[in-house]
Amino acid sequence: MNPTATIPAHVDPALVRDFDFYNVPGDKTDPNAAWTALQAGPRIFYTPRNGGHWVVTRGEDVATCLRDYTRFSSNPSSIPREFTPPIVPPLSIDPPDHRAYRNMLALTFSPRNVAKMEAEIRALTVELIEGFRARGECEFTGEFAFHMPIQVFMRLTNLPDTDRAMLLGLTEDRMRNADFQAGLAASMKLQSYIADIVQQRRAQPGDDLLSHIATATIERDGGRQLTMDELAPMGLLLLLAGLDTVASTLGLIASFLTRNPAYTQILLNDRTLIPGAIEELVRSHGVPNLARRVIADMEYQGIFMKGDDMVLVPVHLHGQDPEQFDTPAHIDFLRQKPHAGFGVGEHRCVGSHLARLELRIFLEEWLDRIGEFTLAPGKQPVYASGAVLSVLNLPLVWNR
Amino acid sequence: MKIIVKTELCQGHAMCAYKSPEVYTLNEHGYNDMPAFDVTLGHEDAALRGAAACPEGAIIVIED
Repeated sequence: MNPTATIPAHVDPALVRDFDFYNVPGDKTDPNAAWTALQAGPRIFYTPRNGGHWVVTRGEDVATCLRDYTRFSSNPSSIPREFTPPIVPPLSIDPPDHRAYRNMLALTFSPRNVAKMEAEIRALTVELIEGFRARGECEFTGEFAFHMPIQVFMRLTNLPDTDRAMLLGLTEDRMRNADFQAGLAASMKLQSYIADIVQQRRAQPGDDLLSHIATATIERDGGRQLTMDELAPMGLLLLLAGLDTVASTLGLIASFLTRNPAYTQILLNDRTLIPGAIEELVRSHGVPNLARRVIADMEYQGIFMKGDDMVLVPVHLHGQDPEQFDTPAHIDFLRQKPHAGFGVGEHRCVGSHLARLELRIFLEEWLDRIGEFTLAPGKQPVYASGAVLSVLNLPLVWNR
Repeated sequence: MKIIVKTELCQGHAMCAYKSPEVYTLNEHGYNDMPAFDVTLGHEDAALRGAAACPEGAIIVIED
């Protein structure tokens, strides 16, 4: 399923490991332990899996790969490199062109604009929680973690709620189907769905994000609208980035609280700690595994890398590196040091302010309405690795 | 106390304005493009807090 490439001649055999980032030993039961175990090994290693790529394991290198676009390009934006369209704006565009694309989204996702969505997001969150609260149990991933962010996305983009199940299914296939071809097929279906909508919105624009990107003029080539080859992947990116990462983070936070109920108590006793808790939980539960491409032959940290080599950049390992954070395994809602959970550098998550709002509303409403909760007796959560670390199944119970 | 924002390093994390809205403001795209300024008396702690919160290290504090 994840074909093994030949090891290129320039790679030092001592640095080769058989590592499939879609299937890391132990990641189904404890993804944090499975990934941080890499920090006991070489600082940077090479794996022939998924087309062949380097893996950086230290926080400093994670930050350098994300910030230094003169050595590490964002195009292509996925590993394996065939997994994404040739252009995915703004994700796959390097500076200096990047900012013009990003600015198309920055207005919508600015802290000021996102704050206007609070009441609407709170209402849909309350509705979701009230839908299962009286049962005293739910499967958190399937009943809440995906539904909250996709409803936010569908309102931002004014998509009909009747398409929700279809979009969730295709997203799941795109992100986690073990069959590479099935993932690619789902990706094509999603893009063609978005392309159709974008074309309609260009003809009859409304007051939504897809109408905005369909009609806005980008400060490129003397000012022009985006082409369909740019718009469809951009729409797909908005869906995947806004849905999967938020769902994963919600799941990892809920799962953390089942294992550490004392932290639920801390938040129940003092709601003013919620914003700090969100920063600390995002710091310690970074989800994306990002991709960079080495631009030209170079020596990096004493290792020879060849132009065009791919590099996997696990954001999780920045937050778990003791050189970046004192006792990284310890959760401290008052920790002040800035983290890289939303990335750093030019490609830092443009949706981070919306994500923070969703996480805050989730914690506030969940604590108000459900309070303490635990794993369902005899059940275990199921996690997965991949482009996004995620929680596949999280059965919860609480006192009704 | 004087604040210099290295605006070329700002990536719109918005942590400065979130921690210390009385000191830091963002433009419409959510970036800090404030020219160098003197901190209002009494806002020094907030200015320091906002600067320390920047993940890009883009805010330079010059103490008197």
